[in-house]
Amino acid sequence: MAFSKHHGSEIVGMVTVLPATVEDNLSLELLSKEEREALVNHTGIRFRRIASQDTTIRDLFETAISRLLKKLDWDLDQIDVLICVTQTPTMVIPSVANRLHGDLKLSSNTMCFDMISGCSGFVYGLNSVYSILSGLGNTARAILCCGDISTQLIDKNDKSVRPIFSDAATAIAVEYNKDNKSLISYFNLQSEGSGQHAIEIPSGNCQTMQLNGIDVFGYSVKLVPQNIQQLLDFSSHSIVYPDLFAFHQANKLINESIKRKLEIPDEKVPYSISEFGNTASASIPLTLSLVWDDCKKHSNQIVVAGFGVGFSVASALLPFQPKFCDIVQDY
Amino acid sequence: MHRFEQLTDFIAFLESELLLENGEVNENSELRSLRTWSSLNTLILISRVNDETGILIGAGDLVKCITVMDLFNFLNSK
Repeated sequence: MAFSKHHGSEIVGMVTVLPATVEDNLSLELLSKEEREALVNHTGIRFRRIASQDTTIRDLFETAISRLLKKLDWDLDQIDVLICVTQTPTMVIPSVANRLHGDLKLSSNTMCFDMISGCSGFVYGLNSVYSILSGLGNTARAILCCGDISTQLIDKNDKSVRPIFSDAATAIAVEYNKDNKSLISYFNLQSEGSGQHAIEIPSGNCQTMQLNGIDVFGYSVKLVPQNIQQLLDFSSHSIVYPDLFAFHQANKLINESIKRKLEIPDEKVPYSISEFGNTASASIPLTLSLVWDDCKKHSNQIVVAGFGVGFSVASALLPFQPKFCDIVQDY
Repeated sequence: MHRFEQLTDFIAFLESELLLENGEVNENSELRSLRTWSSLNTLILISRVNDETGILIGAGDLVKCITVMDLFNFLNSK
């Protein structure tokens, strides 16, 4: 079991960048009128964001980081770590993080690397950031970028994939202070390799995403509630303790099943899926940002849970009181 | 014990979840020939079966079920 406990790290700000172009599932000519209505009703996905063909995930990350740095009083040479979590890097080498390091003129002391991860990537990335920062000294700073341009991996005639996925990128600022012992975060990272074919892009000529919706449902509903319950047991808290549960925005069928199995009240489970679809590793920070104005006064301890391609499942219980959670909707 | 002990209950459940008329489904009906069978409706059905019984039907399980009776027997074998 990959449990971990971290002291002293906290998210201090987040910026999510969305492409301006919106696709409405109720206008999708690929589907009949009845199919469109059933899809929106059952998956919960109405609108999705579509990046232009010449936009890369590097571009979205750069915009998110620039906006983030404008709102923080961080100097460029104070960023110790930059990690980019994505499955759509455009270029195989060098890493997106290294390209951004060069373009943003970060310090040569900044550690940079990419993580290939999808819908569990925010939690996996955050765990990596917290682990690294605690080994760097008394204080340290990191930027974690999460997101994908999934729509560039999709067969536009695939009725079961196109209406689900959407494009977004988030930059998250994390600060570490060794003396801040009251900041305690718990993580539970897991993998289930028997589900490796549930979501994949097979090698060969057909380089588009293939999704087995039944298996994705099965793995998610079986593994995510277990993972979260184990996390809470590890932290010695019960299911009523967290103020909020921010799940990866897969689809409403999956997320509602998870919510029911854990017996979490509706008001503790926010959604962004209707407005923004499934935005892969950006979906959890996007969801938190969407509801932040409403919940910041009474939310402190939250559970975040990502799940998907791999099959990979990760959850965390963490204090969450950032200074800002911005959404830029007009890239 | 799950709720689909009687075949008639299961057929009524299928008709309701797949938005079919009463009497449109029988035990020999082929699942993939049902008028409203689709990838989305399959997912909805699997989600509802899980809600009602706690049983998770995998993609491999469903491939082996040709008729309504096959699916009923599969659920009762769990």
